[in-house]
Amino acid sequence: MSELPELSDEERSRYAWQMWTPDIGEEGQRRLKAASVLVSRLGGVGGTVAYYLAAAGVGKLVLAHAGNVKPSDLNRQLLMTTNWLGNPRIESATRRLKELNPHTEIVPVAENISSENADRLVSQVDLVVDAAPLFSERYAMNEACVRSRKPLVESAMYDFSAQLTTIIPGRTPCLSCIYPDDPANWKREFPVFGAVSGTVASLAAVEVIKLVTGVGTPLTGQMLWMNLREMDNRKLPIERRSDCPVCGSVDAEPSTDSNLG
Amino acid sequence: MSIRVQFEAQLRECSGVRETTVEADSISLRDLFVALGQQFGQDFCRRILDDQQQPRRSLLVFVNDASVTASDFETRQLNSDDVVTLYPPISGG
Ligand SMILES: [Zn+2]
Repeated sequence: MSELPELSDEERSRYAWQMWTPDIGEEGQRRLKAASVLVSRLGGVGGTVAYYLAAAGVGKLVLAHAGNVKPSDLNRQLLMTTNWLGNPRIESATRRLKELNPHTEIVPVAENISSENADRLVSQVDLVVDAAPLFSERYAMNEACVRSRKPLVESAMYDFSAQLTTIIPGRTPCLSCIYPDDPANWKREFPVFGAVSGTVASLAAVEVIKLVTGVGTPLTGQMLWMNLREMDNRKLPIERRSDCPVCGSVDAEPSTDSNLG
Repeated sequence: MSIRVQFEAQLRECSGVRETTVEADSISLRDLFVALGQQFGQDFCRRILDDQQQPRRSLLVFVNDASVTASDFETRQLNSDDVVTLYPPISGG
């Protein structure tokens, strides 16, 4: 605990209510301050993940999202603002997060994830949340996380459905174990209410808080599938594939006192 | 015998239904997929079967409360009153 950063009085009062959470306290808050998280895309899911992680006092957020704010972003992308239409999304997101919590260091990256930048971005953080709308971006991130043995929270939605799982490379199925073939017919544009993307985003942020603080049990080896039309939620068991080209030959590393590995 | 089949996400959209019932004397999971592909048309069919009419591996399939791995799609025989649920991959972010 000695290597964890100290909290200022301002930080103690800012985070007081969450530090009351059993098993969190000042040490849990210092773990959050020491943590760094990469969030891929700041849309309806990733933007809300980043918002909650900044609110919770995560020390550093590396945020990847290309492009400019469009009118059709605004029904769900809570870090984008009307006055920033036509300007870079990453700037709107950085400003909103800084307004919420100036203590969180923001590393803005105006790029989407690809096999060219994934390793470099993953190397800057302790763990990753993926909320990209394209499977090609998710596969690239999954491969980089497996290579560097970093935990990856996979969060996705469509219509009133959402799914969530936490990948610990070498211990749990990776994305390529779950979806070995690039899914046919996935379209980049999808039906979405902000309240639905925000639901799975909140749960992804909860997973990050658990991984960083060591509290609770991460959602590993299972996929939470939420059907919000009927409020019917299931935890689906998922398994590693021994022939997985991404993680098949990766062994588990010894775990530490947090849930981070 | 009858098999209940439930659809999630895009599979609801392109079938137009939440669930359906398939009547058959004896049927494997793969043959069930082929029957569903014939019933619900090209777009639906492409989402569950590849060009060789093999079930897509990136589909999460549950029979009752247990998952079925892709390697068992061909051989897995279904029993009367089984409930099959098909979860397509989603990636909205
Ligand atoms: Zn794998």
